[in-house]
Amino acid sequence: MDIRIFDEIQKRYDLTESLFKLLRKNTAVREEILWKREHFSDTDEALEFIRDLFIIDFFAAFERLLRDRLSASVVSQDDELSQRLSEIILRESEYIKIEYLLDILKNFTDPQRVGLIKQIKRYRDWIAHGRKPLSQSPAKPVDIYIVFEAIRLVAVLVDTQSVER
Amino acid sequence: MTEDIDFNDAVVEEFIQNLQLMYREVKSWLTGFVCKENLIEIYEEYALPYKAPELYIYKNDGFLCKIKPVGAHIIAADGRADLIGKRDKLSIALLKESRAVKANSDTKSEQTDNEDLRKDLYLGYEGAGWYVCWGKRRITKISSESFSEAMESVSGYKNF
Repeated sequence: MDIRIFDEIQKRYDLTESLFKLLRKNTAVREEILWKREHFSDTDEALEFIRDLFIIDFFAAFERLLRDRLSASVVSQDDELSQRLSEIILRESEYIKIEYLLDILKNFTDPQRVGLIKQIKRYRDWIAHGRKPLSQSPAKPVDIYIVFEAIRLVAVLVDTQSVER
Repeated sequence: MTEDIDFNDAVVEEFIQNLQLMYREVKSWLTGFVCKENLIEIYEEYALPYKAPELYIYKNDGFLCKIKPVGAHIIAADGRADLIGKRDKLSIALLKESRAVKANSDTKSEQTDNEDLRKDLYLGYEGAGWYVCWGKRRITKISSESFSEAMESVSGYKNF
């Protein structure tokens, strides 16, 4: 897992959003697929759902990076006892709640940034678990790029910390 | 109107108050336009369902756009409303004064809105207030000019 994955996902989102906006502006395309003015809100909603899928993608990449980097740091201990312990931890690491892993990061970064990631995680869970309609949706994003940036800021730190070890 | 609003907690109450302040300001910029308010119900995780006003904006009897409140619990912001026109939609974000960090570290109480973090996240942040969000992290503090630009962008109406 390379930190550049975040740029790649964002680039894919950029392209998707640009295409969506172009489609909406193009009269010929609109008429061809019967998008009348009153259907504009449908396209807004469609883009909103697509944004949510990108948040899942972005968060999944972050989670992979975090688990890989923390596992790598455990493996770096070199006595035999530690090796045995790290085997167990590596085997079980996929089952450790990400909230616990995020709490570890509070020692290295502003806890508010970690809190923001937890908010994003709750939103991600709400989407991934079937978003209950008309019921308590968690804190929503204001702009998907803010979500991307909040994750990226912490991901860079996770990456830097593991490189420095 | 305030009697109809079911206040649940301070966050929601403050959001609605800020929304009303923004509407008052917006109306003062819109001479020659007709504005109407309509209460809608909002569902959020950290509050009981509550009502907040939408603001409809008309010109010469034609609908131009509306400001629709989204919620008081927003990731990296203190509230969000959407400016919705026939052409497009833009978000308007409330970014309040920075609060002190609480010692309690559970998810709900972690404060995520300090000034440094905002400056890292938003391009164009210049203190507390409502902001038009143009996408790609670019924001502009709401003013007569930025709101006219936003209205033009979502409605296509040019003669402000």
